[in-house]
Amino acid sequence: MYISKFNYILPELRAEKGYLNMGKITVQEHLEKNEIRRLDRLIVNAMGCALNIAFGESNLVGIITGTGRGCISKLEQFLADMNTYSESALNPSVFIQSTNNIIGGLIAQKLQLTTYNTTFVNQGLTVLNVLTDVEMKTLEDSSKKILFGFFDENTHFNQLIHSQSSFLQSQDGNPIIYGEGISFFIASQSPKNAIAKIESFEYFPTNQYICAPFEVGVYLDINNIEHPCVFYVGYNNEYEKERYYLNIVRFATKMNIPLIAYKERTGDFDTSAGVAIALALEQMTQENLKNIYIFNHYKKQSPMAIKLVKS
Amino acid sequence: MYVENKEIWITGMGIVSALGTDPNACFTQLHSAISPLRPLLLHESIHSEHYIGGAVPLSDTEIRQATNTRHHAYNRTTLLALIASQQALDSAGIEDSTRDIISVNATTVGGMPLTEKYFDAIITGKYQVNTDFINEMDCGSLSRVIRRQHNLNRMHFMISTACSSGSNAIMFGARLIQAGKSSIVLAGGSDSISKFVLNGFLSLKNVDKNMCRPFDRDRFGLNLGEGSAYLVLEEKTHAQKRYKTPLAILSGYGNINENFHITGSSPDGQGAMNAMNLAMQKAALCPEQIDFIHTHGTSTLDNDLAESIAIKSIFGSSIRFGSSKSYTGHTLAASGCISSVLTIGMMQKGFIFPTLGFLNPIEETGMKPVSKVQENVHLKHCLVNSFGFGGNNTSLIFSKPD
Repeated sequence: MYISKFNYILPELRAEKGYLNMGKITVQEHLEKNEIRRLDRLIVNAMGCALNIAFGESNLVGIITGTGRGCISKLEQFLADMNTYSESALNPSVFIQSTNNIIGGLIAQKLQLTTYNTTFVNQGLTVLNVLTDVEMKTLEDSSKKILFGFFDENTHFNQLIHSQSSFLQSQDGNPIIYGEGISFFIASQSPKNAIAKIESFEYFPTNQYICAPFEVGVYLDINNIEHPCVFYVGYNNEYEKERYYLNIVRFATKMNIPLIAYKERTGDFDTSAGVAIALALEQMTQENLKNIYIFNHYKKQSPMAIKLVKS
Repeated sequence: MYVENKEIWITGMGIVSALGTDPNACFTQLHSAISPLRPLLLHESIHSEHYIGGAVPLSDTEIRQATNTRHHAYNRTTLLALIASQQALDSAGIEDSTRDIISVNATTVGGMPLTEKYFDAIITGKYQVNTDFINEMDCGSLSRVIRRQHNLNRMHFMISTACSSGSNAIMFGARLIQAGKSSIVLAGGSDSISKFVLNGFLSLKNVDKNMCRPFDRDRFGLNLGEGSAYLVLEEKTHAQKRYKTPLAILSGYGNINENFHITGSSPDGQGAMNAMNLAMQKAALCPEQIDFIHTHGTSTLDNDLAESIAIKSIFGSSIRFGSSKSYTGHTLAASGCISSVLTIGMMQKGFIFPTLGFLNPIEETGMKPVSKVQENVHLKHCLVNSFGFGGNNTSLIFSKPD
């Protein structure tokens, strides 16, 4: 499938938070003031990010979104309010905003789109879940376009649970930085005005504790890699102990392929590979690259590869 | 060119709900026309004893024993899914070895029972919460566990589109087969009652303290429920090679977005109409060929009015329809799958359950659901509706094999 438009929002390291954060509202076009006031930061940013590329786009027949944890700040707020107010006088808006598919629903309202709409919420596999659906949907109606995207946020509670589960402390003492980000795209089966083609995406099914080094090695060997090419790799700062990336690094070194550790810009989170697609597309518009491969896993449970080919 | 022409057979199914802990128990209870809804005493909330709901009559410990699950941290939503998915695989006669099967799962809040239990401890730092529990707090953990527990070696999916999630999982599974991604898909949904969800719906002021009254003039709101149901979807020729016969055929499906309000149904029923029309178009069926509609029928003011208007405008006043929410409660992401399994059971056994709680029709439409058990009925094509927050509407059509 071909990508004709994309947009993304990256986090910044914010001193007051102590972790990577997108800030408050970065996109305000197409949104009413009362929406910006009453809706959560993630929802407003995701809507703005999506609407910037989708508004006025003809032939859209579906919205497919993906998130690892959804709008967790509202979920946390509702849980905290339940305790604070002893399960009474709770604000329904907070509950509604915690629903995983609210962003897809609100974007559909803004675009007046009454067609297919779905949301995947599957940890690190979310990105491949969404890409699978986008591919099928564009093939089912090859003359039409799909808006798809990813969103995840970091919060104080999220930091706490990932600290307590030891995810943020790597074995070699290097800190792993949790992140957040938003990315949206327009896809179709038409190469017209396309920036690049998502030629393939692979999931390497694996045991939970062994992150598919063999499968990745086979994948690299059988792929016809055209130069100039770049590998985006999801190092999260514990790569020295990570066999999954080790094979990729060896291969890239042998083939003289530059590596970009994209999580230095995004942090690690469920749908970071979605932002990586956007960053890769941006690089393709700026440089003469034929292929970009994205390799990632999240918590060793979703080893994957995504291949982009410049149109 | 992409052509969808594969016949999708249902070759296995499993269910656990307030009605019972396996398909036959659920069909028998449904046939008896007795509601199993009772006070929500299982769950820790100041409201629980004041509201009735559809709690599964099994403790977490009992479910672990039933599913031979040793993992101490699996949340209740996942445990319910393990029961139903195991039943589905068993009834499809799928060998207990590494399985070349894609799983498509659905939930709305997934690990919320664990999140709300440990939220305060984590925020305040009162004590260290076991990492195993933390890892099971989100939605995706269910999907991961289903894949691992059943030795499935393909991609797994998790859909979360509020109360239409389960039906969307079934639809997505069928599309995977149509696209040639797999010949066999395990698709289902699961949700458990949590303090979070109970308070969420209470904040929306649409929960009835008494048994819900779907499509009744004086309906007040829904009863919450919990449960899980899974179907094994299989491409016809693949099933034939295994010498399997279909329990039913998934002949149509459609999903649309209402584009009206983020929680409310369009009052003219347009959203529901669009979903049902899309499913019939896919199945190449006309309204006269639909024998029964298993409605979303939550018993909320908005949903039942809109769905009732939609049904009347497409099918007229004489169509047979009903809601099983007064038996199961509203099981959120599981509801579409539970309705699907119950519908297939009715098609097999030739009965229609009565919609409990219904007395007087909604004045605007005068539509009356089936209110007494109907026996010896031939149900060739049945439509199942599921509507969710975000204006997400999905309809499925199941057909009885010839």
